[in-house]
Amino acid sequence: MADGWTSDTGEAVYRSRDAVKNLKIKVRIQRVTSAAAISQHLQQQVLSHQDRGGIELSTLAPTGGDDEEELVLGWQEKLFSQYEVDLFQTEAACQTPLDRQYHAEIAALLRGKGRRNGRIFTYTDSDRFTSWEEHSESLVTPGTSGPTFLAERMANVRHRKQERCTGDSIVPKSKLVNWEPSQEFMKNSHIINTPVQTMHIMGDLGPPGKLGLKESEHVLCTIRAYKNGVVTIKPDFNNSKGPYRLETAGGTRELWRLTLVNASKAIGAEEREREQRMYRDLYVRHRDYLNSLAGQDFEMPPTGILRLIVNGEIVSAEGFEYDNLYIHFFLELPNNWFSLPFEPLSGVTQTCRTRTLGKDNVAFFCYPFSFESFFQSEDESEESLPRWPVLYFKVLSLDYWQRYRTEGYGYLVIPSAHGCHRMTCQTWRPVQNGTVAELRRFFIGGSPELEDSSYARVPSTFKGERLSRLGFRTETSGSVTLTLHCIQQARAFVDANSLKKRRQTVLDQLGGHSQQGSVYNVLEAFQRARRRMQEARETLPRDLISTISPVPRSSESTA
Amino acid sequence: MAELHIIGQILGARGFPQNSVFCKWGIHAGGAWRLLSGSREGQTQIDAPQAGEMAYWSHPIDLHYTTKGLQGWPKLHLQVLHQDSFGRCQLYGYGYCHIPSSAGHHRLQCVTWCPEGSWQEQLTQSFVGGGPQLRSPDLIYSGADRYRLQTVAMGMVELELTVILRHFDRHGVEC
Amino acid sequence: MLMATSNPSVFLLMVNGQIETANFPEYDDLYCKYCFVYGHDWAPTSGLEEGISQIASKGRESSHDLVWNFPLEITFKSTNPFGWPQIVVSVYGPDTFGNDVVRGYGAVHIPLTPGRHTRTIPMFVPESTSRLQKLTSWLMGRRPEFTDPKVVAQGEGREVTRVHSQGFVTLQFNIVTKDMKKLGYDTGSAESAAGPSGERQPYVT
Repeated sequence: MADGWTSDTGEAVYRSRDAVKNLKIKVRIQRVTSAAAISQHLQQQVLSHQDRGGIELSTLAPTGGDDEEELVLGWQEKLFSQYEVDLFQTEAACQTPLDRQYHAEIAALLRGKGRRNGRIFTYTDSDRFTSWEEHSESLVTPGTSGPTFLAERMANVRHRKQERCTGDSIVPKSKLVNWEPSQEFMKNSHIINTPVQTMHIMGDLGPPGKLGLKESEHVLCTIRAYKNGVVTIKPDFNNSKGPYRLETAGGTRELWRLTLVNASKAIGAEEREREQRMYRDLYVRHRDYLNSLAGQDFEMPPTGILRLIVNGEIVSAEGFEYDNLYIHFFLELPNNWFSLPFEPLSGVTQTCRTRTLGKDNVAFFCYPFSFESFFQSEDESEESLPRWPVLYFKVLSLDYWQRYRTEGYGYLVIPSAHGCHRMTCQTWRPVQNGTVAELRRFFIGGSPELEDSSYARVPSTFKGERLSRLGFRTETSGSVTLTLHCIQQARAFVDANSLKKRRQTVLDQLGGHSQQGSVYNVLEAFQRARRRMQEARETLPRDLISTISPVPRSSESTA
Repeated sequence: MAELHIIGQILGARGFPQNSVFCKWGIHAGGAWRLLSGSREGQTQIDAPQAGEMAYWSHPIDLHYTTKGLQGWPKLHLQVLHQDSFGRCQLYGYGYCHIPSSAGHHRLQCVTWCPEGSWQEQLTQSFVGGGPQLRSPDLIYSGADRYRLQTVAMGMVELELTVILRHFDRHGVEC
Repeated sequence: MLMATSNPSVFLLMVNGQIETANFPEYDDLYCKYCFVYGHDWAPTSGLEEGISQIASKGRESSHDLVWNFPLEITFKSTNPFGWPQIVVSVYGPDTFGNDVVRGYGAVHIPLTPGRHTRTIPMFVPESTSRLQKLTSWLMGRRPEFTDPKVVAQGEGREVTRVHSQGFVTLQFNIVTKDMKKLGYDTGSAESAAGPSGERQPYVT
């Protein structure tokens, strides 16, 4: 009998676009006959003897079925408790207009068919209890001396029920900040001020025939309806769970069973269907609208061609010997790779003075480059995989006398995986033996250079079987950081289903062979860019930079 | 057609000579791209941090692009400025970053640089402020004429961006 | 949802989390409230859109952190990622004279990728440029405040604001999305969230 209690009395949150006035709750309380029932019965008899004055009271109480009660309650429906009936019956006790209204209602009830409730009654939002309860009810044991200022403030604002526009109001720019907020403003804005209405469903769980005592009032259920459509119910509807257990305190410990059921009228099947159809239409129309904005066509490479787009950035260079760094770079496309005509595959960054970060001197370039290239495999030889483009770069420094020094060489193979890659490349520079060379580097500038930057990897003209750098001396220099965002596109990817399969398709369909790079064209372009830069150095950067006082700069040419 | 959503924040900046800075930002994308919703440029608040060298802006970015092609993938460009106690603004750095092409969450650090004048200019700059600025801001996100500039490394801007891709896979694109 | 699952037109974003801790080295006895800001295509379907925490003090032994451990639980639906929800947190507490003043506003997007995420958001307050106003506001306990905390989630109109950042709030999120894949949205896998660009931060000093 007492099994299957629901012990979780936590709050439940519901959302409804429907008006809250349609909410109906069926409440049922039932006394569980305990072992103490007989003694209670005796006690009760004694009590009723003492209580001879209350004949009227006992006549008012519903006869029979006192151990059980079931009621369907509407939102903010006022049902008077025995206590309230007693209180408001005498007009002298009525102070507020609400009290007087209750007085009139109770008088009408008494004249008419009587109350429909016994133990179950309600406190609506306008009742004193509702505001009083939030204040007094302590959340901890033992109860603290009083509510915090926050709780007080919340109670004050929440019960104001002002009609506030809930739509997202656009705050004008000039009034974004309230420079001297008033006390009132702070009171309102530091707390949540969504209007809320509260209703308490109460039970008078006093012993039979002894209803109307304030002490035996118990909160059965608290319902709050917020302006934004949220309804919270504590405890939740029982639905399929067992009843809640209520225990009265004090000398007469009794056990009650509480069941809460949502008795609101459900939406009709037809209506539901209509609503769903409406939403579906709305969503579909919205989607079509977005699709129409986006359009349908998309560029596509021809069959059998892999398109590679690299959006890259030369981020920084650090740890180099001299200051005022700049970087030359060019891209080498291996065989079977093509680029669009006029696509610059090389570039030169600005000259950047370094700053100290941690131990190293860092130059920030933030230099963008992007290139698009196409790969087409000529014949299907299973032995080899496509070679990927290589980015060669050279770090140089420029001094006050416009002399440049080679600071480092490096290269980077464009990753064959798509996605974002942040890469840090170590560099080296060729050195000549002896202090004289270093002194020359320091005083005169200029330093050994590679004839061909691709020597940093495998020289483009190299045909042998093993690469040897014997006899060549280098010195470690700094590092260059790049980010690359690689995008690949091919028709083959469309047909493939799973990602894994796609990978295989890339290699299967596009897998060609590796050959020497067509580096010469690129080198040529690179030389062109370099010439252009040198020309530009001579004509000063006056037209590019607007200064407060343009002062001619020393224009010594490179040593 | 494919869609790209860029959602995130310009978090803040650090490593600048003064930490009370703000940022003007903008997005540049190629001709195949069309912005359906969201604003393509903006300006952050001016933060004067209480402690630490990082200035926080928490500036939200929410953009919805649609595209017919892959060229001209959007780039975010930034200008970091400092406002002194007289209300004058001084350029502290230019920077840009490619919007990551792979879907997911990305924490980006965008380094910045500032054009450097001659030593005479630098001297006046230290007294009255000002200093050289780019004549056309598109140089921030293009590499074409960069080699004509003499710059100095400045601070860093931090961004947190999440990229959502839609229907790129339909067109055989692996980002 | 309402739609047949085979051809969904909306996706769901389920957020579970908490406002975990705050780090305000100089202040104590703080409480916070949160709300969500989202675009027109978005609607909450369950859970609470706003909340206000208890007043929390720092532990005697612990560091600067004070713990709210305040739960967040909400589900949104949308047709389109644009206007992705942001959570706006504002923190309040007493000043030296006992006036209840604002200690910070902050906002962050709800993480877009499924899984567990921790976000530490910087908090800031509007600041007056005039020294006199600063002094009077300090004396009167009337610090400048945003007219509506939700403005910190907007990108527009920020250029006129001068702020002063102080402190951090740490939030935790557990994100579940439904039907985003079916609608064709690729938010990246969980691995790519901590991918090369997420991991490496070479300039952290």
